[in-house]
Amino acid sequence: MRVLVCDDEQLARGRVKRLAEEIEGVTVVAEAADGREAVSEAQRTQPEVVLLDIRMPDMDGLEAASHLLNTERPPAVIFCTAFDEHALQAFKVHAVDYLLKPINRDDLAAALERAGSLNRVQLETVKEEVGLDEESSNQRQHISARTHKGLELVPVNEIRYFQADQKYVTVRWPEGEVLIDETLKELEDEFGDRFVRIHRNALVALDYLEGMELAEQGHYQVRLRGLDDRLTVSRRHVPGLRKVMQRM
Amino acid sequence: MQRQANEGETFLPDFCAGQSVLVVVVGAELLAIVLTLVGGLYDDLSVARFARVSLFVQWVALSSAGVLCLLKHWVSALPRAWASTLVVAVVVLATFVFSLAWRLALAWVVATTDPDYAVWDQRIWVHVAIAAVITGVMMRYFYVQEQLKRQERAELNSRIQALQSRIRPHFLFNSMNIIASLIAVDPDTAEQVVEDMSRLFRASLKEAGHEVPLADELDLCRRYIHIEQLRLGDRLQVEWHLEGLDQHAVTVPLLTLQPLLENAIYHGIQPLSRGGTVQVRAEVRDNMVRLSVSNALPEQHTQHGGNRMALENIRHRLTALYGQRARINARELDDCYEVEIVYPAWRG
Repeated sequence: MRVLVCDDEQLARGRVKRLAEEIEGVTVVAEAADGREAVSEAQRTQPEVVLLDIRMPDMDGLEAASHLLNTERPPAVIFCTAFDEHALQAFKVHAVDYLLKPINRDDLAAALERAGSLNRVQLETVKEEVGLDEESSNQRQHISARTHKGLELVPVNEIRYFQADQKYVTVRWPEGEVLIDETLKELEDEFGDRFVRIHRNALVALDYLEGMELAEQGHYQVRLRGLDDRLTVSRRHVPGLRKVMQRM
Repeated sequence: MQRQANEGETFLPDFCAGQSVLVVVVGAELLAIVLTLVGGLYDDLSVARFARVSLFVQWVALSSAGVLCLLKHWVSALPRAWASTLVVAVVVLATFVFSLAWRLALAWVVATTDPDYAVWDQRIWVHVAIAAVITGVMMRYFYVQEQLKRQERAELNSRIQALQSRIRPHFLFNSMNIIASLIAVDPDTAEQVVEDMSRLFRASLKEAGHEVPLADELDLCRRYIHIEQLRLGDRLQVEWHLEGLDQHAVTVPLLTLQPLLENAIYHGIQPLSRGGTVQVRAEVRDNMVRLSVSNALPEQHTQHGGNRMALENIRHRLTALYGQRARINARELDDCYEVEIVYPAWRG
C-alpha cells in the first residue's frame, strides 16, 4: 500500500512514517510539510492513502483533502490531529477516518486496513461544521483545477477574476487561466467579501480593481491591476460597483 | 483581598473600629425609635419618652461595644457558637446592670414621694428579654453575612484556579506526540521534554494567585519554548529583551507570561509556513512592571476566540491581585501583534 504522510511538524512526520513502514505491505512514498505540498506530491506519486494533519500553515488538511478529491484517482484520506474538538465531533458524525496523535500503531494499522474513500458530501459537511464552530473563515485559500498537467492549484489571493462561459468558469490569474467546474453563484457565496459581481457572467477581485471607464461602444468596463484585459460591466451593476469603488 | 479575609477568621465586626461604632449607634437609635413607637400604641407619644429610651438603648449598646472591643482578641479565638453566646451574654448583662442602676437611681429620687416604689420591677426583665432577642437576631445576621462572603471568596478562588489551570489540551497532546516521536530517535531530548513538561504542569497546579520572581516565570517560558521549538523547528525564533532588569527582585503572578507566548505561537507563528519571531520584553518603569510579547502576523488572520479567552483570563487574575492599577493591552501594529501587561511593581 502506497502512503503519503503530510504534517507540518518534522518530528511528527518522522514518527508516522516509521510506524507506517513497520506495517507489512506499507510503503511511505512521499512526505509533505503542508497541504499544497501534499496535493502536488500526491499527483506525482499517486498514493492510495494520504495521512493528513488538520492544522497546517498555508493550506490546512481539510482544504488539501478537497483538492485531493478533485484529482483523477482520489486517494483515501485519513485525518490526523492532536486535539480538535470540533473536527473530531464532525468526523465521528460523518464517518470520516481519523487518527489521534500521538498515533497508536494498532490504530494506524486498522485505519490503513479499512481506509475508504472520502466523498465530497462528507467533506463539505465536515468543513462547514468545523468552520461554523471556529468563527474562522470557511474560504478555501486555493482553487484547484484539473488541467492537462494534472491538478493545478491557484491561490485565491492571486486571482483577478472569474468569468463564466457556457458550462465552465474561467479563473484568471497572472500565470494564465484555468477552467473549473463550479458556478459563479457558489464562488460568490464563498468569496463574496473579496470579489464583486460586475456582470451576469463575471466576478472581479476587489484587491486588484483599478478603475471603471467608459468604453467607445458606450458601455462601462473595469481595469484590473497587472492585467490588460478589460471586462464589461453590465448596466445593472454600474451603481453598485460605483459604491464599492468609492468605499475603497 | 484574600489575605485580609484569611487573617481575621471571626465573623463579628471589629467593635473598636470607628465605622462599627457608627453602625452600633445608628442601629441602637433605630431600635429606640421602634420601641418608642410601640410604646405609642399604649400611651401618648412624647419626645421625653423617646429621649429616655434613646439614652438607655445607646448606653447599653455603646458600653456593650466597648466591652466587646476590650475582649476582641479573646472573642475571636472562640468558636462561632461560643462567641455569639458570649456577645449575647455581654449585652444581656449590660442591659440588666443598667436597668437595675436606672431603677436604683429612680428609687433614690422618688423614695420620698412614693412609698410603694419597688426597685425590682417587671420592666427589668422586659428589657433583658428584648436585649437578648435583638442581639440574637443580630448574631444570626452576622453569621449569614459571613457565610455569603465566604461563598463569594470560594467562588473567586475557584475561578482563579480554573483560569490558571487552563493549559491548552493542544499543547498537552502535541507534547505527548513529540515525546513519542523522540523516544526512538533521541531519548535524551525526550527525557528533557518530560522534565520541562512536568515543570510546566506543576506550575499550573500551584495555588491560585501565587506570585513568583520573574526569573522563575522566565525559566518556565524557556522550557515551554524549548518544547515548541522541537515541534516547529526553525519556524520558531524567540528574542528576549530583558536588559537592565533584576529578574529576582521583580515578581509576577505565576503563569502570566507563558500563556501570552502560547498565544503568540499558536495564532502567530504556527499558521506561517516560513515561521517568524516572537519578541519578549520586560522592564520596570515608573514603579510599574511592563511585560510584552509580540509576534509576526499571519497574512490572513482572524481574531481567534482562544486568544480573547486567554487575555480575559489574565486580565481577571491581574485585577484580582492588583485591582484597577493592572491592565492588559493588545494591539495590532503594521505587521505584528503585541500584548502588553502592566502591573504595579509593589503591591499595596
